[in-house]
Amino acid sequence: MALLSGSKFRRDEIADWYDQHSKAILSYILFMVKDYQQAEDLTQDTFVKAYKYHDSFKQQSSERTWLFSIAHNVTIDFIRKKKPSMFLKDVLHLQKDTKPLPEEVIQLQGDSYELYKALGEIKSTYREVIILRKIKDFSIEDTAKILSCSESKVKSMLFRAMPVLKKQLIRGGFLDGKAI
Amino acid sequence: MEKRYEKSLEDAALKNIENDLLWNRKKNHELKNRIMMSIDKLESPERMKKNLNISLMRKITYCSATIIILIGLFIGSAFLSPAMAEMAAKIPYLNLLFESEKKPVINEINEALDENGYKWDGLGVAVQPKEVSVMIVGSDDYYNQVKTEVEDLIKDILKARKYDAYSVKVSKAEIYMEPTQEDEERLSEAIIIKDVVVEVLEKYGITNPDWPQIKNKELELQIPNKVTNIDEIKKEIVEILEEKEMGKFSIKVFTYNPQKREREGRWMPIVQTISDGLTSKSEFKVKTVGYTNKFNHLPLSIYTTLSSSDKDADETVKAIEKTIQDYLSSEKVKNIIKNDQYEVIIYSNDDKVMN
Repeated sequence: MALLSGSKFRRDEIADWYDQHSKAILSYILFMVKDYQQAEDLTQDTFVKAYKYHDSFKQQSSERTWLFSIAHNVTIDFIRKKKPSMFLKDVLHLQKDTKPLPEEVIQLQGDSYELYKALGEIKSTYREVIILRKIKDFSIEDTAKILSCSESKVKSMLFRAMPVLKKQLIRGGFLDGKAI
Repeated sequence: MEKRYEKSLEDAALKNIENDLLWNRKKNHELKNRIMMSIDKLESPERMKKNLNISLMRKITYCSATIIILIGLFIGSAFLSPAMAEMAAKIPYLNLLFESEKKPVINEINEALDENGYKWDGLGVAVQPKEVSVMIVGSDDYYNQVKTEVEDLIKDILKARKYDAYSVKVSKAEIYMEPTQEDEERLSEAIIIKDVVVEVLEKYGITNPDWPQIKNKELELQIPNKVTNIDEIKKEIVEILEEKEMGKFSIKVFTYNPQKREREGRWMPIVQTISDGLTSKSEFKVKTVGYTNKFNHLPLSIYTTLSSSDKDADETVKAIEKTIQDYLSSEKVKNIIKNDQYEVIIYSNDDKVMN
Protein backbone atom coordinates (compact mmCIF):
# COMPACT_ATOMS: atom_id res chain seq x y z
CA MET A 1 0.00 0.00 0.00
CA ALA A 2 2.76 2.43 0.90
CA LEU A 3 4.46 1.83 -2.41
CA LEU A 4 1.26 2.44 -4.32
CA SER A 5 0.47 5.58 -2.38
CA GLY A 6 3.97 6.86 -3.11
CA SER A 7 3.72 6.05 -6.78
CA LYS A 8 0.31 7.71 -7.05
CA PHE A 9 1.75 10.85 -5.50
CA ARG A 10 4.71 10.78 -7.86
CA ARG A 11 2.47 10.18 -10.85
CA ASP A 12 0.24 13.11 -9.95
CA GLU A 13 3.25 15.33 -9.46
CA ILE A 14 4.75 14.37 -12.82
CA ALA A 15 1.39 15.08 -14.50
CA ASP A 16 1.39 18.48 -12.84
CA TRP A 17 4.98 19.16 -13.89
CA TYR A 18 4.12 18.13 -17.42
CA ASP A 19 1.34 20.73 -17.54
CA GLN A 20 3.72 23.41 -16.32
CA HIS A 21 6.96 22.61 -18.12
CA SER A 22 6.40 20.28 -21.06
CA LYS A 23 6.37 22.96 -23.73
CA ALA A 24 9.59 24.51 -22.47
CA ILE A 25 11.27 21.10 -22.26
CA LEU A 26 10.00 19.99 -25.66
CA SER A 27 11.11 23.17 -27.40
CA TYR A 28 14.53 22.99 -25.69
CA ILE A 29 15.02 19.44 -26.96
CA LEU A 30 13.63 20.39 -30.36
CA PHE A 31 16.17 23.20 -30.67
CA MET A 32 18.86 20.73 -29.71
CA VAL A 33 18.01 17.78 -31.94
CA LYS A 34 16.09 19.62 -34.69
CA ASP A 35 13.75 16.74 -35.25
CA TYR A 36 10.26 17.11 -33.84
CA GLN A 37 9.44 13.41 -33.53
CA GLN A 38 12.72 12.72 -31.81
CA ALA A 39 12.14 15.69 -29.53
CA GLU A 40 8.79 14.23 -28.50
CA ASP A 41 10.38 10.88 -27.72
CA LEU A 42 13.14 12.48 -25.68
CA THR A 43 10.60 14.63 -23.83
CA GLN A 44 8.79 11.44 -22.96
CA ASP A 45 12.08 9.94 -21.72
CA THR A 46 12.68 13.04 -19.64
CA PHE A 47 9.39 12.84 -17.77
CA VAL A 48 9.54 9.07 -17.36
CA LYS A 49 13.03 9.42 -15.88
CA ALA A 50 11.77 12.19 -13.62
CA TYR A 51 9.16 9.74 -12.35
CA LYS A 52 11.65 6.92 -11.98
CA TYR A 53 14.23 8.99 -10.13
CA HIS A 54 11.77 11.18 -8.28
CA ASP A 55 13.35 10.15 -4.99
CA SER A 56 16.61 11.75 -5.99
CA PHE A 57 15.01 15.16 -6.50
CA LYS A 58 16.42 16.91 -3.44
CA GLN A 59 14.68 20.23 -3.98
CA GLN A 60 18.03 22.00 -3.86
CA SER A 61 16.99 23.48 -7.17
CA SER A 62 13.57 24.13 -8.63
CA GLU A 63 11.78 21.27 -10.35
CA ARG A 64 12.17 23.22 -13.60
CA THR A 65 15.96 23.22 -13.28
CA TRP A 66 15.91 19.55 -12.30
CA LEU A 67 13.74 18.62 -15.28
CA PHE A 68 16.01 20.54 -17.61
CA SER A 69 19.06 18.77 -16.24
CA ILE A 70 17.37 15.44 -17.01
CA ALA A 71 16.41 16.71 -20.46
CA HIS A 72 20.00 17.82 -21.01
CA ASN A 73 21.36 14.38 -20.09
CA VAL A 74 18.77 12.57 -22.17
CA THR A 75 19.49 14.78 -25.18
CA ILE A 76 23.27 14.65 -24.94
CA ASP A 77 23.07 10.91 -24.44
CA PHE A 78 20.98 10.68 -27.59
CA ILE A 79 23.31 12.89 -29.61
CA ARG A 80 26.46 11.09 -28.50
CA LYS A 81 25.45 7.48 -28.18
CA LYS A 82 22.41 6.84 -30.28
CA LYS A 83 23.41 8.87 -33.28
CA PRO A 84 27.17 8.75 -33.74
CA SER A 85 26.88 10.25 -37.20
CA MET A 86 25.00 13.22 -35.76
CA PHE A 87 27.69 13.67 -33.12
CA LEU A 88 30.38 13.56 -35.77
CA LYS A 89 28.60 16.13 -37.89
CA ASP A 90 28.26 18.28 -34.83
CA VAL A 91 31.93 18.03 -34.01
CA LEU A 92 32.89 18.76 -37.58
CA HIS A 93 30.37 21.61 -37.84
CA LEU A 94 28.73 19.93 -40.77
CA GLN A 95 25.22 19.95 -39.52
CA LYS A 96 22.73 20.73 -42.23
CA ASP A 97 20.06 18.26 -41.34
CA THR A 98 17.51 20.43 -39.56
CA LYS A 99 14.21 18.89 -40.43
CA PRO A 100 11.33 21.23 -41.21
CA LEU A 101 8.89 21.60 -38.35
CA PRO A 102 5.74 19.56 -38.79
CA GLU A 103 3.19 22.36 -39.22
CA GLU A 104 0.29 20.34 -37.95
CA VAL A 105 2.07 20.05 -34.61
CA ILE A 106 4.12 23.14 -34.12
CA GLN A 107 4.62 26.39 -35.99
CA LEU A 108 7.25 28.99 -35.59
CA GLN A 109 6.18 32.41 -36.72
CA GLY A 110 8.04 35.09 -38.62
CA ASP A 111 11.69 35.81 -38.11
CA SER A 112 11.94 33.29 -35.29
CA TYR A 113 12.05 30.49 -37.81
CA GLU A 114 15.20 31.97 -39.27
CA LEU A 115 16.69 32.16 -35.82
CA TYR A 116 15.68 28.55 -35.15
CA LYS A 117 17.45 27.46 -38.33
CA ALA A 118 20.54 29.48 -37.48
CA LEU A 119 20.65 27.96 -34.00
CA GLY A 120 20.49 24.55 -35.63
CA GLU A 121 23.61 25.30 -37.61
CA ILE A 122 25.94 26.04 -34.72
CA LYS A 123 27.59 23.45 -32.52
CA SER A 124 25.45 21.90 -29.86
CA THR A 125 27.39 23.15 -26.82
CA TYR A 126 27.01 26.75 -28.03
CA ARG A 127 23.42 26.17 -29.03
CA GLU A 128 22.58 24.76 -25.64
CA VAL A 129 24.05 27.56 -23.58
CA ILE A 130 22.23 30.13 -25.75
CA ILE A 131 18.96 28.27 -25.38
CA LEU A 132 19.25 27.95 -21.62
CA ARG A 133 20.47 31.46 -20.90
CA LYS A 134 18.80 33.55 -23.58
CA ILE A 135 15.67 31.67 -24.51
CA LYS A 136 14.78 29.78 -21.35
CA ASP A 137 16.08 32.57 -19.17
CA PHE A 138 17.91 30.41 -16.64
CA SER A 139 20.36 32.12 -14.31
CA ILE A 140 24.05 31.39 -14.71
CA GLU A 141 23.90 29.30 -11.55
CA ASP A 142 21.01 27.15 -12.77
CA THR A 143 22.50 26.81 -16.24
CA ALA A 144 25.68 25.52 -14.62
CA LYS A 145 23.62 23.03 -12.60
CA ILE A 146 21.83 21.81 -15.70
CA LEU A 147 25.02 21.42 -17.68
CA SER A 148 26.97 20.06 -14.69
CA CYS A 149 29.75 22.57 -15.18
CA SER A 150 31.13 25.66 -13.48
CA GLU A 151 29.48 29.05 -13.66
CA SER A 152 32.60 30.53 -15.24
CA LYS A 153 32.41 27.94 -17.99
CA VAL A 154 28.81 28.99 -18.69
CA LYS A 155 29.88 32.62 -18.94
CA SER A 156 32.81 31.95 -21.23
CA MET A 157 30.82 29.57 -23.42
CA LEU A 158 28.06 32.11 -23.87
CA PHE A 159 30.63 34.80 -24.62
CA ARG A 160 31.97 32.65 -27.44
CA ALA A 161 28.60 31.35 -28.60
CA MET A 162 26.82 34.62 -29.33
CA PRO A 163 29.23 35.86 -32.04
CA VAL A 164 29.04 32.43 -33.67
CA LEU A 165 25.26 32.69 -33.83
CA LYS A 166 25.49 36.18 -35.27
CA LYS A 167 27.90 34.99 -37.93
CA GLN A 168 25.55 32.19 -38.80
CA LEU A 169 22.68 34.63 -39.22
CA ILE A 170 24.80 36.75 -41.53
CA ARG A 171 25.86 33.71 -43.51
CA GLY A 172 22.21 32.74 -43.90
CA GLY A 173 21.45 36.23 -45.15
CA PHE A 174 19.19 36.92 -42.19
CA LEU A 175 21.35 39.61 -40.67
CA ASP A 176 23.25 42.46 -42.14
CA GLY A 177 27.02 42.18 -41.64
CA LYS A 178 27.34 45.64 -40.23
CA ALA A 179 25.22 44.72 -37.25
CA ILE A 180 28.04 42.74 -35.65
CA MET B 1 12.20 45.53 -43.63
CA GLU B 2 14.65 45.50 -40.79
CA LYS B 3 14.97 42.18 -39.03
CA ARG B 4 14.32 42.57 -35.36
CA TYR B 5 17.53 40.90 -34.24
CA GLU B 6 19.54 43.50 -36.07
CA LYS B 7 18.83 45.69 -33.09
CA SER B 8 19.49 43.33 -30.24
CA LEU B 9 20.14 39.73 -30.86
CA GLU B 10 21.00 39.09 -27.25
CA ASP B 11 17.62 39.37 -25.71
CA ALA B 12 14.44 40.32 -27.45
CA ALA B 13 14.80 38.16 -30.55
CA LEU B 14 15.87 35.07 -28.67
CA LYS B 15 13.20 35.47 -26.03
CA ASN B 16 10.60 35.94 -28.71
CA ILE B 17 11.31 32.58 -30.20
CA GLU B 18 9.36 31.01 -27.34
CA ASN B 19 6.39 33.30 -27.90
CA ASP B 20 6.47 32.58 -31.59
CA LEU B 21 6.07 28.87 -31.11
CA LEU B 22 2.49 27.84 -31.76
CA TRP B 23 1.62 24.45 -30.31
CA ASN B 24 -1.05 22.03 -31.27
CA ARG B 25 -2.85 21.46 -27.98
CA LYS B 26 -4.21 18.10 -28.99
CA LYS B 27 -0.72 16.82 -29.78
CA ASN B 28 0.52 18.14 -26.47
CA HIS B 29 -2.25 16.26 -24.68
CA GLU B 30 -1.46 13.10 -26.63
CA LEU B 31 2.17 13.28 -25.56
CA LYS B 32 1.05 13.63 -21.96
CA ASN B 33 -1.05 10.49 -22.32
CA ARG B 34 1.91 8.64 -23.78
CA ILE B 35 4.09 9.68 -20.88
CA MET B 36 1.53 8.71 -18.27
CA MET B 37 1.05 5.36 -19.98
CA SER B 38 4.79 4.74 -19.87
CA ILE B 39 4.79 5.58 -16.18
CA ASP B 40 1.90 3.24 -15.55
CA LYS B 41 3.76 0.50 -17.35
CA LEU B 42 6.74 1.01 -15.06
CA GLU B 43 4.53 0.16 -12.12
CA SER B 44 3.28 -3.00 -13.73
CA PRO B 45 4.80 -6.17 -12.32
CA GLU B 46 3.84 -7.82 -15.59
CA ARG B 47 6.07 -5.45 -17.48
CA MET B 48 8.15 -8.22 -18.95
CA LYS B 49 5.17 -10.09 -20.27
CA LYS B 50 3.36 -9.54 -23.47
CA ASN B 51 -0.04 -8.97 -22.02
CA LEU B 52 -0.21 -5.57 -20.53
CA ASN B 53 -2.31 -6.04 -17.48
CA ILE B 54 -4.85 -3.34 -16.97
CA SER B 55 -4.89 -4.09 -13.27
CA LEU B 56 -2.12 -1.55 -12.90
CA MET B 57 -4.83 1.02 -13.28
CA ARG B 58 -6.55 -0.36 -10.28
CA LYS B 59 -4.05 0.96 -7.79
CA ILE B 60 -5.07 1.95 -4.30
CA THR B 61 -8.20 0.02 -3.76
CA TYR B 62 -9.09 0.22 -0.20
CA CYS B 63 -11.58 -1.74 1.81
CA SER B 64 -11.73 -1.38 5.55
CA ALA B 65 -12.69 -4.99 6.01
CA THR B 66 -9.64 -6.27 4.17
CA ILE B 67 -6.76 -7.73 6.05
CA ILE B 68 -3.60 -6.22 4.69
CA ILE B 69 -0.94 -8.83 4.37
CA LEU B 70 2.35 -7.09 4.31
CA ILE B 71 3.39 -10.42 3.23
CA GLY B 72 1.39 -12.99 5.05
CA LEU B 73 -0.84 -13.16 8.06
CA PHE B 74 -3.81 -12.50 10.33
CA ILE B 75 -5.31 -11.89 13.69
CA GLY B 76 -5.78 -13.68 16.95
CA SER B 77 -5.52 -12.28 20.35
CA ALA B 78 -2.60 -11.65 22.49
CA PHE B 79 -0.50 -9.03 23.85
CA LEU B 80 0.29 -5.49 24.57
CA SER B 81 -0.45 -1.90 24.15
CA PRO B 82 1.50 1.33 24.60
CA ALA B 83 1.70 1.10 28.37
CA MET B 84 3.48 -2.24 28.29
CA ALA B 85 5.66 -1.11 25.45
CA GLU B 86 7.14 1.55 27.72
CA MET B 87 10.03 -0.66 28.76
CA ALA B 88 13.38 -1.21 27.16
CA ALA B 89 14.52 0.56 24.02
CA LYS B 90 17.73 2.32 23.32
CA ILE B 91 17.82 2.90 19.55
CA PRO B 92 17.69 -0.72 18.66
CA TYR B 93 17.75 -2.58 15.40
CA LEU B 94 14.36 -1.58 13.99
CA ASN B 95 14.81 2.08 14.82
CA LEU B 96 18.10 2.13 12.96
CA LEU B 97 16.38 0.46 10.08
CA PHE B 98 13.51 2.95 10.22
CA GLU B 99 15.96 5.84 10.03
CA SER B 100 17.91 4.32 7.19
CA GLU B 101 14.91 3.15 5.24
CA LYS B 102 14.17 6.49 3.64
CA LYS B 103 15.31 4.67 0.55
CA PRO B 104 13.86 1.18 0.15
CA VAL B 105 16.36 -1.54 -0.65
CA ILE B 106 14.87 -2.03 -4.12
CA ASN B 107 15.57 1.62 -4.96
CA GLU B 108 19.11 1.38 -3.69
CA ILE B 109 19.78 -1.68 -5.86
CA ASN B 110 18.06 -0.04 -8.83
CA GLU B 111 20.27 3.04 -8.57
CA ALA B 112 23.43 0.99 -8.05
CA LEU B 113 22.70 -1.02 -11.20
CA ASP B 114 22.12 2.16 -13.19
CA GLU B 115 25.17 3.91 -11.78
CA ASN B 116 27.32 0.98 -12.83
CA GLY B 117 25.81 1.08 -16.30
CA TYR B 118 24.35 -2.41 -16.31
CA LYS B 119 21.61 -3.22 -18.81
CA TRP B 120 18.93 -4.78 -16.70
CA ASP B 121 15.23 -5.17 -16.23
CA GLY B 122 12.72 -6.84 -13.96
CA LEU B 123 14.28 -6.14 -10.58
CA GLY B 124 12.32 -7.71 -7.74
CA VAL B 125 12.66 -8.12 -3.99
CA ALA B 126 10.52 -11.05 -2.86
CA VAL B 127 9.92 -11.85 0.75
CA GLN B 128 8.61 -15.35 0.31
CA PRO B 129 11.08 -16.85 -0.44
CA LYS B 130 13.49 -14.09 0.46
CA GLU B 131 15.17 -13.35 -2.77
CA VAL B 132 16.41 -10.42 -4.80
CA SER B 133 16.14 -11.14 -8.49
CA VAL B 134 17.24 -9.17 -11.49
CA MET B 135 17.25 -9.92 -15.18
CA ILE B 136 20.09 -8.88 -17.44
CA VAL B 137 19.20 -7.54 -20.87
CA GLY B 138 21.49 -8.22 -23.82
CA SER B 139 23.52 -10.92 -25.49
CA ASP B 140 24.64 -14.18 -23.88
CA ASP B 141 28.19 -12.85 -23.83
CA TYR B 142 27.11 -9.71 -22.00
CA TYR B 143 25.09 -11.76 -19.53
CA ASN B 144 28.03 -14.08 -18.81
CA GLN B 145 30.34 -11.13 -18.49
CA VAL B 146 28.31 -9.21 -15.88
CA LYS B 147 26.37 -11.92 -14.04
CA THR B 148 28.87 -12.35 -11.18
CA GLU B 149 29.56 -8.63 -10.92
CA VAL B 150 25.86 -7.85 -10.58
CA GLU B 151 25.39 -10.62 -8.05
CA ASP B 152 28.28 -9.29 -5.95
CA LEU B 153 27.00 -5.73 -6.18
CA ILE B 154 23.60 -6.73 -4.82
CA LYS B 155 25.11 -8.95 -2.13
CA ASP B 156 27.24 -6.04 -0.93
CA ILE B 157 24.17 -3.82 -0.62
CA LEU B 158 22.31 -6.51 1.32
CA LYS B 159 25.31 -7.13 3.53
CA ALA B 160 25.63 -3.43 4.33
CA ARG B 161 22.01 -3.49 5.45
CA LYS B 162 22.55 -6.70 7.40
CA TYR B 163 19.91 -8.45 5.30
CA ASP B 164 21.40 -11.86 5.75
CA ALA B 165 18.28 -13.86 4.92
CA TYR B 166 18.14 -12.94 1.22
CA SER B 167 19.54 -14.86 -1.66
CA VAL B 168 20.36 -13.22 -5.01
CA LYS B 169 19.27 -14.50 -8.38
CA VAL B 170 20.63 -13.03 -11.61
CA SER B 171 19.08 -14.37 -14.79
CA LYS B 172 18.88 -13.49 -18.45
CA ALA B 173 15.88 -11.35 -19.47
CA GLU B 174 13.22 -12.71 -21.73
CA ILE B 175 12.83 -10.80 -24.93
CA TYR B 176 10.69 -7.81 -24.18
CA MET B 177 7.52 -7.81 -26.19
CA GLU B 178 6.03 -4.45 -26.93
CA PRO B 179 2.38 -4.07 -25.90
CA THR B 180 0.00 -4.61 -28.77
CA GLN B 181 -2.12 -1.85 -30.20
CA GLU B 182 -5.07 -3.36 -28.35
CA ASP B 183 -3.19 -3.25 -25.05
CA GLU B 184 -2.32 0.39 -25.62
CA GLU B 185 -5.93 1.23 -26.42
CA ARG B 186 -7.21 -0.50 -23.29
CA LEU B 187 -4.76 1.36 -21.15
CA SER B 188 -5.55 4.61 -22.86
CA GLU B 189 -9.27 4.08 -22.18
CA ALA B 190 -8.54 3.24 -18.56
CA ILE B 191 -6.67 6.52 -18.16
CA ILE B 192 -9.61 8.48 -19.59
CA ILE B 193 -12.00 6.71 -17.20
CA LYS B 194 -9.71 7.35 -14.26
CA ASP B 195 -9.44 11.05 -15.16
CA VAL B 196 -13.23 11.42 -15.38
CA VAL B 197 -13.79 9.71 -12.04
CA VAL B 198 -11.10 11.70 -10.26
CA GLU B 199 -12.42 14.97 -11.68
CA VAL B 200 -16.00 14.28 -10.59
CA LEU B 201 -14.98 13.13 -7.12
CA GLU B 202 -12.82 16.21 -6.64
CA LYS B 203 -15.72 18.37 -7.77
CA TYR B 204 -17.76 16.87 -4.94
CA GLY B 205 -15.11 17.84 -2.43
CA ILE B 206 -13.30 14.52 -2.12
CA THR B 207 -9.64 15.44 -1.96
CA ASN B 208 -7.02 13.15 -3.43
CA PRO B 209 -9.60 10.53 -4.40
CA ASP B 210 -8.74 6.91 -5.08
CA TRP B 211 -8.60 5.69 -8.61
CA PRO B 212 -11.48 3.53 -9.72
CA GLN B 213 -11.20 -0.18 -10.17
CA ILE B 214 -12.28 -1.01 -13.70
CA LYS B 215 -13.94 -4.33 -14.43
CA ASN B 216 -15.16 -4.30 -17.99
CA LYS B 217 -18.15 -1.97 -17.88
CA GLU B 218 -18.30 -1.79 -14.09
CA LEU B 219 -16.42 0.71 -11.96
CA GLU B 220 -15.74 0.30 -8.26
CA LEU B 221 -15.24 3.51 -6.33
CA GLN B 222 -13.95 4.17 -2.84
CA ILE B 223 -15.66 7.13 -1.19
CA PRO B 224 -15.43 8.54 2.36
CA ASN B 225 -18.39 7.37 4.45
CA LYS B 226 -19.58 10.91 5.18
CA VAL B 227 -20.32 11.71 1.55
CA THR B 228 -24.09 11.83 1.10
CA ASN B 229 -24.70 12.55 -2.57
CA ILE B 230 -23.42 9.26 -3.89
CA ASP B 231 -26.26 8.77 -6.40
CA GLU B 232 -25.57 12.18 -7.88
CA ILE B 233 -21.85 11.35 -8.22
CA LYS B 234 -22.59 8.03 -9.88
CA LYS B 235 -25.03 9.63 -12.31
CA GLU B 236 -22.56 12.33 -13.29
CA ILE B 237 -19.71 9.89 -13.93
CA VAL B 238 -21.93 7.65 -16.04
CA GLU B 239 -23.15 10.62 -18.09
CA ILE B 240 -19.70 12.04 -18.75
CA LEU B 241 -18.35 8.65 -19.80
CA GLU B 242 -21.26 8.27 -22.19
CA GLU B 243 -20.64 11.73 -23.60
CA LYS B 244 -17.03 10.74 -24.18
CA GLU B 245 -18.30 7.66 -26.00
CA MET B 246 -16.66 5.33 -23.52
CA GLY B 247 -19.85 3.26 -23.25
CA LYS B 248 -22.38 2.74 -20.49
CA PHE B 249 -20.91 1.91 -17.11
CA SER B 250 -22.47 0.69 -13.90
CA ILE B 251 -20.88 1.89 -10.66
CA LYS B 252 -20.42 0.19 -7.33
CA VAL B 253 -19.49 2.34 -4.38
CA PHE B 254 -17.59 1.21 -1.29
CA THR B 255 -17.30 3.60 1.59
CA TYR B 256 -14.41 3.93 3.99
CA ASN B 257 -13.72 5.58 7.31
CA PRO B 258 -11.25 8.46 6.79
CA GLN B 259 -10.02 8.30 10.41
CA LYS B 260 -9.06 4.68 10.05
CA ARG B 261 -7.40 5.41 6.78
CA GLU B 262 -5.44 8.21 8.41
CA ARG B 263 -4.38 5.75 11.12
CA GLU B 264 -3.28 3.30 8.47
CA GLY B 265 -1.24 5.99 6.75
CA ARG B 266 0.68 6.57 9.99
CA TRP B 267 1.21 2.89 10.68
CA MET B 268 2.19 1.73 7.22
CA PRO B 269 5.86 2.75 7.33
CA ILE B 270 6.13 1.39 10.85
CA VAL B 271 4.73 -2.00 9.94
CA GLN B 272 6.85 -2.00 6.82
CA THR B 273 9.97 -1.49 8.92
CA ILE B 274 8.93 -4.29 11.29
CA SER B 275 8.35 -6.53 8.30
CA ASP B 276 11.63 -5.63 6.59
CA GLY B 277 13.61 -5.89 9.81
CA LEU B 278 12.23 -9.19 11.01
CA THR B 279 12.09 -11.00 7.70
CA SER B 280 15.56 -9.95 6.63
CA LYS B 281 17.32 -11.44 9.66
CA SER B 282 17.36 -15.22 9.70
CA GLU B 283 17.65 -15.44 13.51
CA PHE B 284 14.06 -14.23 13.91
CA LYS B 285 12.63 -16.98 11.70
CA VAL B 286 9.88 -14.62 10.54
CA LYS B 287 8.06 -15.46 7.32
CA THR B 288 5.60 -12.60 7.04
CA VAL B 289 4.18 -9.63 8.89
CA GLY B 290 0.73 -8.14 8.51
CA TYR B 291 -2.01 -6.14 10.13
CA THR B 292 -5.68 -5.37 9.84
CA ASN B 293 -7.23 -1.95 10.00
CA LYS B 294 -10.70 -3.29 10.61
CA PHE B 295 -10.90 -2.97 14.38
CA ASN B 296 -10.65 -0.13 16.85
CA HIS B 297 -7.29 -1.49 17.94
CA LEU B 298 -4.65 -2.49 15.43
CA PRO B 299 -3.48 -6.11 15.55
CA LEU B 300 -0.01 -6.83 14.18
CA SER B 301 0.58 -10.44 13.30
CA ILE B 302 3.99 -12.01 12.98
CA TYR B 303 4.09 -15.35 11.16
CA THR B 304 7.16 -17.45 11.90
CA THR B 305 8.61 -20.75 10.82
CA LEU B 306 8.88 -21.76 14.50
CA SER B 307 7.37 -25.02 15.53
CA SER B 308 4.93 -24.81 18.43
CA SER B 309 6.49 -27.97 19.87
CA ASP B 310 10.02 -26.60 19.75
CA LYS B 311 11.29 -26.04 23.29
CA ASP B 312 13.76 -23.42 22.18
CA ALA B 313 11.16 -21.40 20.30
CA ASP B 314 10.40 -19.32 23.38
CA GLU B 315 13.75 -17.61 23.19
CA THR B 316 13.15 -16.53 19.59
CA VAL B 317 9.62 -15.37 20.43
CA LYS B 318 11.01 -13.22 23.24
CA ALA B 319 13.65 -11.79 20.91
CA ILE B 320 10.97 -10.88 18.37
CA GLU B 321 8.75 -9.32 21.04
CA LYS B 322 11.58 -7.32 22.50
CA THR B 323 12.71 -6.09 19.09
CA ILE B 324 9.22 -4.89 18.26
CA GLN B 325 8.58 -3.35 21.64
CA ASP B 326 11.93 -1.58 21.71
CA TYR B 327 10.96 -0.04 18.44
CA LEU B 328 7.35 0.84 19.20
CA SER B 329 8.25 2.38 22.55
CA SER B 330 10.90 4.69 21.14
CA GLU B 331 9.96 8.37 21.30
CA LYS B 332 9.96 8.86 17.56
CA VAL B 333 7.60 5.98 16.89
CA LYS B 334 5.36 6.82 19.85
CA ASN B 335 4.83 10.26 18.34
CA ILE B 336 3.64 8.64 15.15
CA ILE B 337 1.32 6.05 16.62
CA LYS B 338 -0.10 8.51 19.17
CA ASN B 339 -2.64 6.80 21.42
CA ASP B 340 -3.58 4.03 19.01
CA GLN B 341 -4.12 0.69 20.68
CA TYR B 342 -2.37 -2.23 19.11
CA GLU B 343 -1.50 -5.83 19.83
CA VAL B 344 1.29 -8.07 18.65
CA ILE B 345 0.57 -11.71 17.92
CA ILE B 346 3.33 -14.15 17.07
CA TYR B 347 2.33 -17.33 15.27
CA SER B 348 4.09 -20.64 14.87
CA ASN B 349 4.24 -22.38 11.50
CA ASP B 350 1.12 -24.34 12.49
CA ASP B 351 -0.77 -21.15 13.35
CA LYS B 352 -0.54 -21.45 17.12
CA VAL B 353 -0.19 -18.22 19.06
CA MET B 354 3.26 -18.27 20.62
CA ASN B 355 3.10 -15.26 22.94
